[in-house]
Amino acid sequence: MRTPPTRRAAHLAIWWARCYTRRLPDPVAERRLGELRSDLHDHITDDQARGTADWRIALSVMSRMARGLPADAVWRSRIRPWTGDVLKSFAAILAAGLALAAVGVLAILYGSGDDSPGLVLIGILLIIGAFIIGVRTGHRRGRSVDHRRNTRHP
Amino acid sequence: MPPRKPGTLLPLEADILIAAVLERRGGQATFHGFGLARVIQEQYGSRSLTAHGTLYKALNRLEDLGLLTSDWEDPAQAVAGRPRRRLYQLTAQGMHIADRVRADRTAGRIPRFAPETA
Repeated sequence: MRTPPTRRAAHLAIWWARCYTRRLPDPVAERRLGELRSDLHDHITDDQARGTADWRIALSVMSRMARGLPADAVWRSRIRPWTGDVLKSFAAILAAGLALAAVGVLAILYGSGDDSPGLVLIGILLIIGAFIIGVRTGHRRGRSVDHRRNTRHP
Repeated sequence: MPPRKPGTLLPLEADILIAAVLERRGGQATFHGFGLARVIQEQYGSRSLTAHGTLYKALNRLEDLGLLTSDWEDPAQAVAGRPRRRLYQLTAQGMHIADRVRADRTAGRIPRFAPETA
């Protein structure tokens, strides 16, 4: 049975995929989401079979997601360029995420230079938090834009 | 990031082709995303697995180039409780290019999928 950190990381990865596949043709979006669901399942079960700690699996999932963000954005823009409201949502994600991530990176750098493992951990948590907050901000904005559009064109 | 030179493959795309051809010669005709990420990690001794976005973007591109084909796993053959996998397979052209990529790597050249134009 999967423990919460792993499940949360997998949910976050799927949630991010839903964000960047929003308004893409259904077959394209479903294919990417299906591949990701399968990948996450295989990743988690494989690592669990190897006896990897749950928090480490969750970090590995988060790391794969975070390192792939630029490629996701490029892939999305090649299929359907970011425009108008979608672009604003994406900018909101980046702005909120980058600001907190910068603080996190500084904490890690200062913490490692000063031999303060606690500070490094805080830095890592800030970066993870930055990402979650940024993504949620973008999601809420996207939903309100959708709502306004539906109200305008029922 | 500098623009890609026409006809060349990115390092990850070359890694995928090489891993796929080795798997095929080992009797594994098809492969899936996570399995491939694990093979590449073990082959090159990387600490981390290839990122989701990078991996699937590279697989899409190789498919667009006609070097791979893919299809969803047959539900009858899928293990219960596991999401269906997207299974990839090297095309005949993909096999040919994968062999050339290995030769390019050995010779220290940039891997290509199309001959260099003068």
